[in-house]
Amino acid sequence: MPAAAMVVAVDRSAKRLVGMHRQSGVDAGGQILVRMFPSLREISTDVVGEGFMPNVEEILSIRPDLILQWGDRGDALIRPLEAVGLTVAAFTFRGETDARDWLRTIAALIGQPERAKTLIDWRDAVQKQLAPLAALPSEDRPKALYLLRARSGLIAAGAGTFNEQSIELAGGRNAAEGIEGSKPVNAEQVLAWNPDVILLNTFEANLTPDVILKHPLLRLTEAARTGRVFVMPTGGYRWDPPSAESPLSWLWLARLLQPERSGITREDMVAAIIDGYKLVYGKTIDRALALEILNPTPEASDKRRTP
Amino acid sequence: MQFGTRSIVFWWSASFVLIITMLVALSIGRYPMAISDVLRLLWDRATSGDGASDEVSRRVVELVRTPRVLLSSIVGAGLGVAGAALQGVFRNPLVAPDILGIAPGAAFGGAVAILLSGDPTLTILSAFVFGIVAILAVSVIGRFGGLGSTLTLVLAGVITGAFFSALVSLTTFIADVESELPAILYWLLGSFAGADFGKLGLALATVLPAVGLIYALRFRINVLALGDTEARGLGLAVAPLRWTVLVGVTVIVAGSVAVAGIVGWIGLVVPHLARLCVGPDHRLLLPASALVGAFLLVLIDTICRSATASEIPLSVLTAIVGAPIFVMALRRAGRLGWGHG
Amino acid sequence: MADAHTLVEIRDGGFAYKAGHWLFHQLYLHLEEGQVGMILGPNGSGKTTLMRCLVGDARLRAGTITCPRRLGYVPQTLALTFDFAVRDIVVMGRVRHISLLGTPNAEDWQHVDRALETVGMRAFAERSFLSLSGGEKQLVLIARALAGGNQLLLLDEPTAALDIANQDRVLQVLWHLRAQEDTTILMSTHDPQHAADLADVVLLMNRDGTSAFGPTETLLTESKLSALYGVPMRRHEAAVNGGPPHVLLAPVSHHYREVGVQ
Repeated sequence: MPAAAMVVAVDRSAKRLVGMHRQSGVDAGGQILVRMFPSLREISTDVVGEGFMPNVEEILSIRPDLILQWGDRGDALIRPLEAVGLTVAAFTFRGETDARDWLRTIAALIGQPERAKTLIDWRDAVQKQLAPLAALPSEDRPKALYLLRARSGLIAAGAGTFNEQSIELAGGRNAAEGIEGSKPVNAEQVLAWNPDVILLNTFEANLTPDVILKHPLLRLTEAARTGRVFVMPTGGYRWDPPSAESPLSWLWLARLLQPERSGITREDMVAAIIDGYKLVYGKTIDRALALEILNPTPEASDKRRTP
Repeated sequence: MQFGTRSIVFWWSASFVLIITMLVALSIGRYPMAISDVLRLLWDRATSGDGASDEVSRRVVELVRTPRVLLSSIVGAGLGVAGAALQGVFRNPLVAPDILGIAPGAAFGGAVAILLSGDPTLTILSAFVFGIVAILAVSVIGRFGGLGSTLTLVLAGVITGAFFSALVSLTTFIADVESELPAILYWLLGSFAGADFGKLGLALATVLPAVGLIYALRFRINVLALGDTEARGLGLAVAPLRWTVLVGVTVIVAGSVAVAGIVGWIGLVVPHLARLCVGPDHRLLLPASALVGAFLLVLIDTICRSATASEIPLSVLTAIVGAPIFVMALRRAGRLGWGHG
Repeated sequence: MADAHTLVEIRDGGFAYKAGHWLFHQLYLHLEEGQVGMILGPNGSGKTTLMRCLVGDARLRAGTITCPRRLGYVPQTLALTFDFAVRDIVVMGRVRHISLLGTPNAEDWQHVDRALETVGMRAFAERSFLSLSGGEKQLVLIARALAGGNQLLLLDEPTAALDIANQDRVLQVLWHLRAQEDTTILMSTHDPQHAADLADVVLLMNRDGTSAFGPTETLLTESKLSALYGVPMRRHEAAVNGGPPHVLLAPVSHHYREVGVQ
């Protein structure tokens, strides 16, 4: 699903998209991507059915040159498309390596390979900037827990996830490193991990830190006691899964997990967002929008405040 | 007087084993605590003493483990009794609540409520209402078929179950992939991870009266287990009795689906284990199924929540434990000539 | 007319699965308290259907029927799904006397013990039903009907599936019930000898829907039985061990050697 937003980022326009998943996330959070590229609202979302099953006839009717589809969810998602002569690019979606592959492939496919270089160079630069944090000894790194689900059962991101990579890059330690991939866990397990910081996903509707702060057990975690429970921001795309603007989420995380050592200030963050959006989307955004990403408006959610 | 020594031994040992299992289950979990600490903590609470235990341990035991162990024991007991009663009134040892469409019906009700509002109370209520709707549908369809009543009802149950399963699939199709779908799936897979005292209260309010009703009918269920013609010949009003039991079973299943999602296999397998211990007489079999069901589900759920850092899906473990037991029961079935049923 | 002692009476009884095709019609049957009645007839003459009408499982198309509601029906066999113990089977005969939400009380269990005693199966009370022989099962089912405190015992070919020794056990029990307990019994049977030994009255049901009812000695004649079964039957009387003469009924030996296959 991040593919739609990634295409927009690589191309710096929405004109190449003719169809996308109903929940492609382009309208997530404060709808910032749609506000930057209003034509996204016109794009068909009838092309994909349950479980990303393509609606072949609907797709044929919009005549795409290329289809971006999940590559790790079975042949059934791809074969029907190829059978009618459509071209399919299949992706997997696990970590930073995959994200870079996506960028390279999309850039090549739309004939702008230099865009991939620009975006990947930016990722390298930010990673290099944060390298001292990533190298910190484990006792200096707070334990952070990313919850992919927090309202209907708890799902934690364990070893090998993109979220773990981001946490480690930003000078933290994954509290859930003991599990492989994203798995359901119970509250008792979270208490046993006792994370210093809890990061909440952008996927669940109406999710606020209260889900942790008012939970009879989870409010006993170090994170809740010290008020360090945060919903991940949503910019042009969600900041928890990999996207073209991941470097911004790394900087944000670094400021959160290592306020002193990272030396990143709020103003630095605002500047990084403005520069980043120029680079990624080719749009000049104002300071207010940058602040809105960090502190969503009351309509988006009153509780999603970020330091 | 009519109960042999074998069953007296069974009652004492089964009750003892269940209580020990529940105590041990309270002492096991991902949050590290010594068994002695847990026992002292429980003792302190029981005697209203002000224990020296730290707050986290106290809350883990009180708010996570206690409701969860109690909830799984009640649901296990309820499903055990429901399964035993169903197998009795249909005199078919291969019948279970899932097969009669009750569980899919309740699951659909819950899924719809998640779609429409997401309010937990409404979810539970809706699961309940649709469990009843499913069994009413079974009754209506059953009246169309002109076959022998038992076979017709089972077939009607299969049809209703398949229909509601399809409706459940439809709700997952309509659901928002990122917010509602996970909630529905989480709930359909069955889990006690969300156990709290509210759910415990709901389970008690539904399962206990229904179990009481079914237990009160235990002797008549025995007579019905001989077959419709036989029971009628002995002067039993067959249809009203069967429907009363079915309503009781529906209440149990809807209540347990509402608090824990769909828990497979327990209703099918537990009566067989209980029958091995106390025989087929429902006066003994029903309470034995309650004990065995509670024991089995507490045991399985304890493994689910504590074996690994991530929760093992409940339905996976009940199937892994249930299937071999069922194979064993099938082997016995051959010997007892269940083919006639 | 049915008087105070009449327990079962059918007048002008007729039954048809399809209008106009009488399985039996203008059937008369009359049984008084303490009598033993037997229904004889070849396969397909409607014995079992008549039984079902008496139990209330089927309804006569014509005529009137008088039959006590409290009757103990003994089926030929019991296909059990769950292997109940003998006493648990027998106590089910008490279901009419047990309240809706109740279970058997001490009095019910006394009835069970007495019924098992009567059929000589007391020692088998704790045994599993499915482990019993055919004759023992039949005795347990009779005990179940007795435990219900019923006015009438209705048996559907109780000896049909039994070997001679087991037939003898069941007949012995029936004889005892008739002689000692004054139990009213109505049963169907394939063996006219059982009627000769036990019955006060018999009902002969022919394949053509006609029937004859009367005292045993007037109906169990060679001509009537031969006509009933379509096989030559012989009747002779013999004194056994110097006692009173017994009626012995049997098909003519080897008659099929003479007629060949028809």
